[in-house]
Amino acid sequence: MLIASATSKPIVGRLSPWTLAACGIAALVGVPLLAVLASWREPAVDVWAHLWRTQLAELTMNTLLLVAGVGAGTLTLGAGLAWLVVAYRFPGRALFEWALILPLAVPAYVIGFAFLGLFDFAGPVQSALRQWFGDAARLPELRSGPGVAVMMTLVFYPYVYLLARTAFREQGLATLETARSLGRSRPRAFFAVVLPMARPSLVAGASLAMMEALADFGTVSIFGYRTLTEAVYRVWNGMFDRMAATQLASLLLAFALALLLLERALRGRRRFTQSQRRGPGVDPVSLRGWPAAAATVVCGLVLVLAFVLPIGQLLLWAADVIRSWSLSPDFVAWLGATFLLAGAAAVMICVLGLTVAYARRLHPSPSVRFAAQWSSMGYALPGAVIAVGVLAPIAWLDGILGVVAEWALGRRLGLLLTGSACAVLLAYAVRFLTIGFQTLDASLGRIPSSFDEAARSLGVSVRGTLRRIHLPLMRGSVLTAFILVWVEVMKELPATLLLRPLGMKTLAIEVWERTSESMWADAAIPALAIVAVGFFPLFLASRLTSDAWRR
Amino acid sequence: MSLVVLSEVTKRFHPDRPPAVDRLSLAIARGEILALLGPSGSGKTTILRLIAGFESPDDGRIMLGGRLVVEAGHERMIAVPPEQRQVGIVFQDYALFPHLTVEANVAFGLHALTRAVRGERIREILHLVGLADLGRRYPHELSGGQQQRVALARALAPAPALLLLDEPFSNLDADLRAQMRDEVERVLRSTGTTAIFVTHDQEEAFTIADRVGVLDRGRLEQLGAPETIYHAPATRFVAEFVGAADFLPGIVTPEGIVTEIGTFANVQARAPGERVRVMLRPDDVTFVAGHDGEAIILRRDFRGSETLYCLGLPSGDRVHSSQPSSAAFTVGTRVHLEVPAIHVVTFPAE
Repeated sequence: MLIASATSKPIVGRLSPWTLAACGIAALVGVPLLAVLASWREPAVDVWAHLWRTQLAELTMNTLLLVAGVGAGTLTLGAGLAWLVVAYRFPGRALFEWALILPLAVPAYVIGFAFLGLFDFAGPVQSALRQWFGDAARLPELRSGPGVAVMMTLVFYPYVYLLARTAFREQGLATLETARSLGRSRPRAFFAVVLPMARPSLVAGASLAMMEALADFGTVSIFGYRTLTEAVYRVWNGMFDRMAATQLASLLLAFALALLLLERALRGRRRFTQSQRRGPGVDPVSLRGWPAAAATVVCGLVLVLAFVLPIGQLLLWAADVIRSWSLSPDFVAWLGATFLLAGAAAVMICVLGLTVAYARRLHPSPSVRFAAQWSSMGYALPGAVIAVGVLAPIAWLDGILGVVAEWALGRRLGLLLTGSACAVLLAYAVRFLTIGFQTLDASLGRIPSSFDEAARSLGVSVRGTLRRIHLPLMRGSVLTAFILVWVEVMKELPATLLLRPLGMKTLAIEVWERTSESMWADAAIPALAIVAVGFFPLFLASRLTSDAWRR
Repeated sequence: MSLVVLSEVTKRFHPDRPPAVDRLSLAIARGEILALLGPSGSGKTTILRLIAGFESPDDGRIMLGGRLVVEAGHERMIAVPPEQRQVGIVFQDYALFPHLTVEANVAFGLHALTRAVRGERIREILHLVGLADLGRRYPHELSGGQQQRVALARALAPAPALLLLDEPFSNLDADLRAQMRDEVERVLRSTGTTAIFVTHDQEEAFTIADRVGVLDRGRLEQLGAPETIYHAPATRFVAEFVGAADFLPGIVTPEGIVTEIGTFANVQARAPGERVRVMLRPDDVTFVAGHDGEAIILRRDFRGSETLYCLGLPSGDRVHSSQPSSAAFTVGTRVHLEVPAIHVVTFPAE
């Protein structure tokens, strides 16, 4: 009655739909986590007893060793290579500088099976060795803890390499020159100043690598190396004991959270020390003679082992398959299914991510900020954990739906949600929402808030502003977010394997099925298709970083 | 009738800090141009944002065109959202939409019109701001002054009841600033637009505005015509913030206010015996050279058309005097002060 105009609506004093949506999305992300924890209400005592007697100690030890090995390996390799290309000039440096991130485009299980095909007892390398040096000649067993750790180090070192390279460059010349003016030689300055200053980035990179190693399912299962992630799947599929699998998953969850906390603790308070970058970057020293040759050989060796050899092997196998006309006729169907599933997930995640990011822009209240943080948490959860966490609530919902349908329609409908893509899409949303959110949030943050206010003052509503101002300005970032999520979903294995709709087959699943039967050549073409798609985000990332560098 | 009425409006951003806007009341007539002048942090931009609807007051109410748009202190706050207030805004950074052409920027607020009427209106408004030929350009293809004109055109296109301008000239260089100031005033007057603009530049406020409101820490210190603000400041803060001034101690006697440099009329009828400070603007003080002069030139700042002299008095107090640069006096010259008592403003001595 106080308001003269009938069109006036109160805007304050009630909850905005954006706030509600953001909180709803955060709750969705929390569901699998709660489901995993809730499994402890009825512990599967006999399965645990069995596991305890037989494998639990082995599984835990294996997992710990693998994660620690990958952490140490990626740190050494990633930071070492980064310093080499930032601080020295040697033949091939310009090529190595970007080519050393290439292994990131290839899923670990693809490089893994290519390696097995190459270096296995029956593979070309060992066969040749036996021919030359007699039957006693053999390589160390690849299907072992150290073998898997070395393999994963070769795949995951680019995480450390990328972050370390940026950190080293940001420190600039001044840091190094200060240290040298105080009497340190260049190599000693590296250990005394450069490395400690880059610690936050190094820790972040190594944590990413270790999380990947912890969550990895494809590689360890091909290599027959028993870890917790692999055990979740085995207990689920082999013993059909979902409760026990879920409880194993909670153990895995504890590992993941411990890793996350460790990262936070190690990163310390120095997160922002390198934010104000001034002055020129490190001036690379030209190497000559033996040191130059050594630098080139080291970089080249890593690149050949981690990328050229496995991809070359895949191409050879693919050529064989094509020559013998034995490409499966279903290949196109798999390709279609993969693109469809990944596309649907990417659209959904972009919408969810944008909703959360926009809610935070409109109403940066504590609850919305918490929702935004909480919904970014899924990246730390291994796919296997999310998968078992999603299935329990979905199966429960299916049960309710079934009862309702039977009562309403008088007949059984079967498993509506569990049998459809709902479950796997939900799992993807939980796992990859952070990619969509971070990308879109950063892009939204670059749009001045005066744009919103200008639009509102010109009579356009909140939703109209999003449609007419923000989305057109964010076009590039929306595409980037879409591609990033799309590629991640295409590569994802454990959640897809556990939750895919009945009968659906994607490229990743085909690769896994063929390789678990050691039919390496048959897996080559689907694997190459995944690799080809994986180059998209790498291209995007290199464009973004090079833009940032060429000021 | 007043177009804009703010009654006892208070806005706090942090519970433990003083409010950004403190029980502020203000009424603006239709067609008036009001400048809000104050140092940074005085709450002037917050007032604009409260009127536009981007912030909600913690107390008080705001009426626009006789319609209550926001009233705090109810159990459920009632507020009209910004898009329904018919308030145009020119932003400090212009906030031109970079993905839209000049025409599309101007058309942005005209969604209610038919295509033909819209086209006509765009032409008309671009002509008004002198950008008739640049409609197809994108904002980044325009100079700063042109961008400013587009921002003005876009805000005026829907014929808002009220236009708010937030430091509109701060992004322009000095030459362009003076030119755009005249331009904007011309456009506002010719369209009869009611406008409030925020600035920390007194010259800008004085040249454009009918009335100037001086703000300090969220409070309205004085609201009046530019001449009143300058010559009859209501508070010491206004006197110091608007133009330079010296404050010379004096004592009120039946004959007038006696100071070191002479006696002034007691126009404010202060009680005899009261200790006061007399405000002296540099343009109120002149002097002639003389060997037995009571003051001495301590410092001389050449400013182009005028020169500012700092004069030392026997007591150690200092007064400033601005003189045409045609005459030049050297530092150390003894002078007699002459203060024609046209505007005598005194403040109680602390």
